[in-house]
Amino acid sequence: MEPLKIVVTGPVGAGKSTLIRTLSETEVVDTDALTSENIGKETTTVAMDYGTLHLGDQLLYLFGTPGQDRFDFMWDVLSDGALGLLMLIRGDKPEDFVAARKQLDYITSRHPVPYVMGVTRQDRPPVWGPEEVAPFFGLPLQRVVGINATDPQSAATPLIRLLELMLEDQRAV
Amino acid sequence: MAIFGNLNHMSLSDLLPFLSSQQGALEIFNLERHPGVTMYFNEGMLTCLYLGNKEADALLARSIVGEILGARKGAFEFLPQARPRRCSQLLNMRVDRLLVSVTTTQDEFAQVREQLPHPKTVFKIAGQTAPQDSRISDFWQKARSHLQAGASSEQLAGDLGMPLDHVRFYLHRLRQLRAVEPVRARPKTVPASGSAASRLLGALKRRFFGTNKEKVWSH
Amino acid sequence: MTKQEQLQEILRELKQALPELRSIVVASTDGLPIVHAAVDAPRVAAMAATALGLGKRISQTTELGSLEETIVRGNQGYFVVYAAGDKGVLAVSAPADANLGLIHLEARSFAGRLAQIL
Repeated sequence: MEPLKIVVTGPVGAGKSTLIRTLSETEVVDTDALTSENIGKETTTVAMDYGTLHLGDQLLYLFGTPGQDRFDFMWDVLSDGALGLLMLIRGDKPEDFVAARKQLDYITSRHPVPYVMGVTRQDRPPVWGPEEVAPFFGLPLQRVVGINATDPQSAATPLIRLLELMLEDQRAV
Repeated sequence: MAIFGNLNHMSLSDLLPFLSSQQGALEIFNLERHPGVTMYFNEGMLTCLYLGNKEADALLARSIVGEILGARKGAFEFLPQARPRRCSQLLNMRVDRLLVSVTTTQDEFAQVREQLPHPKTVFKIAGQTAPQDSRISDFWQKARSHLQAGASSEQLAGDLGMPLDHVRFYLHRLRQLRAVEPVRARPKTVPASGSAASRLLGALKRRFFGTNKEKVWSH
Repeated sequence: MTKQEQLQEILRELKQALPELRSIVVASTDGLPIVHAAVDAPRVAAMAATALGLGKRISQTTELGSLEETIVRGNQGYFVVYAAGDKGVLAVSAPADANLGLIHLEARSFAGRLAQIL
């Protein structure tokens, strides 16, 4: 069976690599480079993160994109043909929301890919919750999920939501 | 006697107030981003603006004046008494008001620069309401038919012959007014992926929640 | 000389040593241009960082040892990315008839000098 691909995107430091490490069964292939900007961490993804998840007889690839918009070409490369897009944002970092909105608009207006948004750090208040994030991004509430990227069950919920919404859209056709 | 110089030393906002009261043409050349620009003045009005050989409408004229206001590179020369040879429609924009409105736009632009949409993001018309603000409604009128089918800033800049950043700015404003919204490309729904999705969903729930029945989320 | 001046000087020397190069970009490993002689340097810098990062991973995963360079070859030329220490990337592009061996020889030594400064 042909493997399917989920793309995890979002601004720098949203927890993309963390979420993929939490979900992946295999050791995650990362492409970290030392940062030269002040982004609150030592290294940053420059090409992709890559992890895998076997679900029954179906192999799922998890691809994480770089966060900075100078790497927008990688958003295109990785989103092409994806089963779904998971956009992560840090709920306690509203200063990144505008960049995140740009990124989400860019990808979803260019690639016909079903998406959900995961709002991380729900375990660390004060934090924006899904019901507050959704109107800012102009998204229906069911497309926004609050998560904690280090917890496996929590990290899996946006994927579950993504598939549920896909099935629902299918039925609506 | 002659009036000439360099934009490096004398900005358009210094030149226009005193030149526009005379009749004549201001030629600006050696600009970084444009072929030569010629502005015709009469009695305090900008009557006609040429970008190379192309006559600009009010929208483009504002854009060009805005860009030249911020330009560091470029030389100018004033030709007193010159009149436009052909001008299909007189702009007749009062120069003092034009400067205020363009400067305001430039300031707003600088403020929101970081928030402007990606040049390739595709927008479409979201509502029927036409924006009231005159600076935006000119753009709206011209861009409307393009936005009906969906267009990116990059495409619009090409189609309308406007600077890319200005198009991004207008789309940003129109979005705030809820007149446009980003397109969400509609996923192709094929039956095969439907059954794949349902199998995956079951497997995901079993894997992470130990059950297939648990409704993790309900509407 | 400031760091920037030293880097500009190296760029100038590299252009002299390899006049057939079409463009040169020195970037940080996270994809920001530092000095360059290129059109669209910000984009090329980001792509060079991506190519280098991916190249390192590929050579590690497929047990090729440490990465020497990543080469993209089109029918009209080459784009070659070299690591300049831990923090830098040197990317050059050259026409198809360029002497790739010579480019490697010179570019590697320049990349070493860049690494000292970065």
